[in-house]
Parts: sequence; C-alpha cells; structure tokens
Amino acid sequence: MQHVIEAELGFPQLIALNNLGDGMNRMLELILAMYEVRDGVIFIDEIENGLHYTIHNKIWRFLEEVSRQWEIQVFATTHSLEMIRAAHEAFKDDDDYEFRYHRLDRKPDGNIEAVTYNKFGMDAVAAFDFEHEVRG
Amino acid sequence: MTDLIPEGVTRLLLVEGPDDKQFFKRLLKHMQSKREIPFDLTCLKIRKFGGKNKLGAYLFELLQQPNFESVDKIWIVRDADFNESDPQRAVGAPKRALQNANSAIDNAYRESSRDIVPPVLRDFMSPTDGHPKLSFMVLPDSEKATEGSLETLLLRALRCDSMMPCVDEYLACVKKKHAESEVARNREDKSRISVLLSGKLILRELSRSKDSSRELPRFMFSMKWWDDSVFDDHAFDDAKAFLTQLLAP
Repeated sequence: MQHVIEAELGFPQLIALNNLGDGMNRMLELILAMYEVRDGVIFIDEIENGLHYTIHNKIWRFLEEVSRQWEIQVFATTHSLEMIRAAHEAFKDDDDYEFRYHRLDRKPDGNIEAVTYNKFGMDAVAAFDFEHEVRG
Repeated sequence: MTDLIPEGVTRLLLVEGPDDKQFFKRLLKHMQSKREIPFDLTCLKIRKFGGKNKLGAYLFELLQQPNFESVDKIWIVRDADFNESDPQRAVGAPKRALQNANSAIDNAYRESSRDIVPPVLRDFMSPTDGHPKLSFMVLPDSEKATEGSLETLLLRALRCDSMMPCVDEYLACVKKKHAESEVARNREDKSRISVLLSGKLILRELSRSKDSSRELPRFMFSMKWWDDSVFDDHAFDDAKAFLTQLLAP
C-alpha cells in the first residue's frame, strides 16, 4: 500500500506534497528525521539545498524550536554564506546564543585548521560583510 | 574570498578608514622616495578596520585567518577623538584611546580560536611582546591633553598654506551668520580640511572638467593636490617613526 502525504493550501482539492517543490519536501524530510532522533543528534549535509534564501532565517528558527522541544543537537554543513548569516540573524537577540560556526581552513603548511565563531565572531562577520570562502 | 592576510604579508597596518589609508600610502611613498624605508613593500598590507568601535571585531577576524601565524607585526592607528562624555577631561583622549584599544585586543584574542595570551599595550608606539607584536599610535599625537584626528595633524602641516587665512575667514563668517548652530568639536578640523580642499579644487584645472562634482571625493582621498614637500613637515615625525618601526626587520 502506498502512502501519500497531501497538503491543504485552501484550494478545493488537496495537493500531493511531492507537487509542492523541493523545499517543502526537504522540510518534511528534516522533521521526520528529527523526530526519529529525539534526544540525540542530527547531521544535515548541505542544509541550504532546495531552500529559498528568503526563508533561511525561518528555517533556523524552526530548527531551533524543534531541536529544543525534542532535545536534539543539530550539526549542519553548508556552502552558503547566506545560510550562515541567516543563522546569526535568527539567533543574535537570544539570551542564550547557542549557534556556532566552524570553518575549515587550509593552512599554509597544508594542514586543515578549524576556526570557531561564537556570537562575538558572528557579530564581526556581520559588521564587516567579510566574504568567507564556503564553497570548498 | 577577501584575503585579509595574503601569502607573503608579514606586516599589517590597521587604520580607521579610507582617508587614513590614502594618507599612509602617500606618506609611505614619500618615505620610499627619500630612501627612508625599503623600496619593496610587498610584506605590508594597510587594512581599514572601520572605526574605533570595530577594532575588536576586526582583530578577531584577523586572528581567525589561516595565515595569521605568518604575521610578525600589527601596527594600529586611530584618532584620539574627543572626550565628549568627560567634560572635566579627567582622562586625556589619547589615554582613553589606548584603554579602548587594549579592551578591544583582549576581547578579540579571548574570543578567537587561537590559544594566545592577549598582548597588552603599555604605551604609545611601544611594541608588545609575543608574536605577532602589536603597537599603537593615536593621531594627531599622544600628548595627554591632545584631542583630534588625522585632519588635526594635516592642518598642523598645512598651517603655513597661503589659503589657510581664507579658510579661517570663511568658517568664521559661517559661524557668525549661523550663531544658533554649534559646530561639533569633532567636525571642526574636518570642516577646515573640506573647505581647504574645495579652495584647492577651484584653483585647479579640475574644476573645469566635465564632472567636477564627482571628482571631489576621489580628489580628497588621493590628496593629489598635496605637494610632496608637505610630507617633510615635522608634524609627521611620529607617523614616520611608527612606519619605520613597522618595516624594520
């Protein structure tokens, strides 16, 4: 038996979710995966895929809400500086700023070095509009 | 990617904004022509940190760069500014600038991913220990009671300029006609320089160019109207000593 998830958008007929675009499917995928790993951790590869830049901020807010509710730690990779900036924008006014941005850089000796940005660092990124190479 | 510390760069001069950057570029060029510093300056980058409130954030970003360990010296210049909030002038503007710089350095080092004890600036133009070394200078100078900016320093060097009496007369007239409006102390020297530049512009062919209104900002930044001999003025001795220190082995 095949299960179909449908969405109600105010039209006379329900719309099958797979007709709503990659973003919606991606969101559902994330919610289901997070539900599966309650009290654990989730690794999201290239979190920006399929998500329009105008909703990045909302996505982070949503992830935060769900992860707090289900006690999940979220690890996400991205090639999108917009996605990183959106996270800071979403969380910057929180009393407990828990977002961390870890960037992997290649040092002159060829070794890889991870540098971490906390709120102070993300404020710096925002203040200068620095271009961070995240395309790998 | 904006490469804040390109390969081969071992010296960084951090200045507040574009005017300061142009000034120090001109000063370096002049010092090169006088053979006071080496001809090859590829080891040096001048970076704008965007003003006193952004120094900590800028230093933090430098610390996070993969090439940070190859930097030997970071020299910082900022305006002394004015103690608007301290009418008694209990702490001189330069001293206050030094305290602010130390606070910015401390924040940047502690928040960064590098395990380096934050260096402390003890005095003006006096490099810290450790690697990289940091040094700090305020404009116009580090005398306790001095307030001001790069423009204050420029005006000292231009005190004998033949156009200066016209500038003073013009500003006095403006103030007299608009006595109700107070000219902010921190705008006074900037205003004098702007008026002087406008006067210089009028005297040049530039004023007859097709688009002279667009020429003015670029003209101000590049300071093309300056005769190189202005840079021989003793007003710039501290700045020259600071640069010599920065470029020394």
